[in-house]
Amino acid sequence: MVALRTAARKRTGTGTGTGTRRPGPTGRRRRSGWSWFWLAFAAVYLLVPLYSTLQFSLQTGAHRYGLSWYGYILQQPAFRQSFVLSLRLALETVVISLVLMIPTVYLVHAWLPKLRPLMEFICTLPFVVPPIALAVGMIGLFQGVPSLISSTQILSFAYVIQALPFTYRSLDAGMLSIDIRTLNDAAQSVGASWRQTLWSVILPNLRSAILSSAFLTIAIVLGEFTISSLLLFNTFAVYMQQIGNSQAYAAAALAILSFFLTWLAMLGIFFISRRVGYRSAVGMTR
Amino acid sequence: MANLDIRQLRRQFGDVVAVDSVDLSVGSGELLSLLGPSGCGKTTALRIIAGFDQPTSGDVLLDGKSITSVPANRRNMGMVFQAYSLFPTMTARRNVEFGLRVRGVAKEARARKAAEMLSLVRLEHRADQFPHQLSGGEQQRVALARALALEPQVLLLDEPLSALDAKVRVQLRQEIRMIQTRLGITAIYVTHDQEEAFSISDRVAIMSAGRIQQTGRPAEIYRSPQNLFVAEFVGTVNRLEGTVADASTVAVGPDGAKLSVPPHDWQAGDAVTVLIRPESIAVGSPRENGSSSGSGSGRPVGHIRTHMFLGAVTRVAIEADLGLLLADVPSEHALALPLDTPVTLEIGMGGIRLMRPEELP
Amino acid sequence: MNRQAIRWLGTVPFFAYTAIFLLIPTGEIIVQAFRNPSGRFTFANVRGLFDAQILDAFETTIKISLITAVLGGVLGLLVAQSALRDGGPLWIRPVLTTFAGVASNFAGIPLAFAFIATLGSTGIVTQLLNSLGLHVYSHGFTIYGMVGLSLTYLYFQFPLMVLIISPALEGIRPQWREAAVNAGATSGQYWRLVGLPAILPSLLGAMVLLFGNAFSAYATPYALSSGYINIVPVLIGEAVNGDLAANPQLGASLAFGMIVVIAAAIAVYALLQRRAARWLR
Repeated sequence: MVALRTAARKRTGTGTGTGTRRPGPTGRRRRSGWSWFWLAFAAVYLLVPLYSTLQFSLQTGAHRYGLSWYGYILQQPAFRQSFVLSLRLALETVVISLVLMIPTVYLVHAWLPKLRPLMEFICTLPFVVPPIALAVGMIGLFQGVPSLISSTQILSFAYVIQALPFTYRSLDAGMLSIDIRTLNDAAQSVGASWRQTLWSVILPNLRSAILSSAFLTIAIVLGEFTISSLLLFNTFAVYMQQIGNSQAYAAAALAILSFFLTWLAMLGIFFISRRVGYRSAVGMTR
Repeated sequence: MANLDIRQLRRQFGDVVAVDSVDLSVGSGELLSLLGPSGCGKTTALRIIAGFDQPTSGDVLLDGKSITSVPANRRNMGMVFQAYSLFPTMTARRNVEFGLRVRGVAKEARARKAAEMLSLVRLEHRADQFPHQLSGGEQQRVALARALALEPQVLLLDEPLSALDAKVRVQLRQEIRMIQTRLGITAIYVTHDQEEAFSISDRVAIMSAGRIQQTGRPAEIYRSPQNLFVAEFVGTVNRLEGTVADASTVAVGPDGAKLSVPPHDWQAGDAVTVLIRPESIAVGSPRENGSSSGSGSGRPVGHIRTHMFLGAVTRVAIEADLGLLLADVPSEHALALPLDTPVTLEIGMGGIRLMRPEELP
Repeated sequence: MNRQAIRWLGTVPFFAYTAIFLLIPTGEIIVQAFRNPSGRFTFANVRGLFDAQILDAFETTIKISLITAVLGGVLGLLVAQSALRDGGPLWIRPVLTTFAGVASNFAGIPLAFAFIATLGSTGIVTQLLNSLGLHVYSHGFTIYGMVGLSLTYLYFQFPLMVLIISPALEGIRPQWREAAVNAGATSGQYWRLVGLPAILPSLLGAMVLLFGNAFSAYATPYALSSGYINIVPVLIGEAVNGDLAANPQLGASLAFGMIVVIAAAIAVYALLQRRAARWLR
């Protein structure tokens, strides 16, 4: 099985350049002044708001600076509750997503390629039906099921849908980069059942894709506001909004904390996906 | 038409010297090939000539004038790349017109010239196709037409046929040569395919590890390779290590078999490498009474081990006392020499060369 | 049961799940949009979409989405191309990619706060501008208005563009540029005649995606512009939570309207994407 695993690991590349190898730079133009300008512009645009927030969060009084707001926030029971709730939902979402998607994507890639266009369509639908609209639909649909709609469970169900495009794209790209057909045939030729194949051969090769999509999902869920606020749950983002209404400085500290978490998640994705060489780190909470 | 000079060209990337003191002269109307294995620096050198790269030191001169500091888009050299160079959003016709359009040439003049170039490469009927609708060979023909549309002083070709099928390659290289001669345009042709370079060039420069190993006409290089690398890179050659026995004999092989060699000035006892071209070995079957049917001397010297059918000629591998030798025999003759046949060998003096045993450069 | 049938069955969980939590709720929206309080079919809700306040909301939201899609698109393209060049430190590319990922996820409540801290009436940059003599607030600018919201949206729009357009930019063969230069073109001529046309379908498609992204935004305008300007998603939230005048079906019809707008945008996207794939093979 180890041999199968390693033998099927295909290299993915970006596909530019000719077949001949040249040492060193290939003679592309060096960065012009404009390049540096735009990069600097981007850096300023992205960093200044962060800096402003940071500055706000450190203001403990007129011209006094300190970390007291951070301490204050971290001690709030509401903070801990909302953060733990969001984190729990995030992990639930990841688990449900993976349990749902991995076998399905595997089946489609290995044996049911005709289903692929349909799957792609369904997994792109969440872009067309934005979370706000979805929330409306879900409320209308599940009104009669109070046990579902008043428990936080509904949130993770909804989040799975919201993360669907990214989970699918991650797993799909991951499966494409390992030759599923060959792996399958090889595994079957040594007598493995489809369960054994999935567990011992396919999954290890998908580790990068799985981890990437997991981190991305966590980032999305931690920052999700729309559905949870509409359904009146106290997730992390909802808590942030409430604090923002009453205590601006504490809210700034919260925002910085939230940024850090997202940044850690993105860093995780970056280091993981560097091994495989494809990029799908796009997420949206608006 | 122009002549091109390259003087002491050197290109270094950090610790790696890609091009090392290269001197080259290409005469007006001449087609010179830069031939060598992958990574030898030939493409780097060509890119410097084209202006896509700056040399670390050295100079490139066109008609005696230095162009090293002239930007790439003003050197008036047409370049044909290995692949993917046609603009995807334009038809073949518009691709060919591109240089003229950029130069501000009027529409009718552009169209006329493009049509002329496309008929030169015999693609007038495909002029309105997009690159992805053309075969690899057709794409390269369009690329050639595009390069020639501006009537450049020098034509540069960077392995233009390497990405194509074998049959297309042979056909297209003849076409390129015919067009080049007809237009009388100075050209530098980079390739790793020795047969390709030798079949179409006026002169060939063989490169390895950034240096020019030998420059000359194809026949000269073939007959008189100046070092071991060139000898082994060009065509097939038998290589035997041995020791000089006397003025006309060298002992080769594990048992010190004696081989007659042409006059030389090595000392007895010197280590030497003996090179023998397969076509210089005459293979014959021994007769019982010592005389032969072929041109052998009668004494069995080896046995046939394998046949490699190459068309008109068959290359046979013979296990001889000298070692394992490859010999070319006319294919009808090879029929009489099945495997394990004992054979005699006569090696023409003209086909033997002695060289200092050296490491490959 | 043969093996292939079992495999088909194996996909049932996925389709069942998406049916329950995606397809049927979407259908529910459409149904509710055409249903009056007593449950009968009606066009009244959809007609209600043409009410002045709601039309204004659609107009504002579409305007902001278009502006930030185009601006974000152009900006993202310039930044992506700048990051793609050789020369300069190697870390620029990965840092940009990571940050772009962060920026597109940072959106929402924290982003709103960040921009209030930056360009609010007592924001850092506002104070800086004041000290330079540019009293933007006295000239009618406010972070809560259309311009302010657009600036905030751009924070996640152009990084998103960078991420989306980078693969297309990488698909540009270096040989195209070299061939163009060899034929005598300047950098500008190359971009105008070869480079831009090659990525135009991807570019337009990406901008359409950006449009959808901005149009769907809820958290950011909620935190920033509630009560100041009308944004459709925020309106939906108000309809659901009872803030709007008694018309619960309004939420559904608004959601329906959103879906229609976005579906149109995505359809255009799919069309352009197919053309792009042909050329960059």
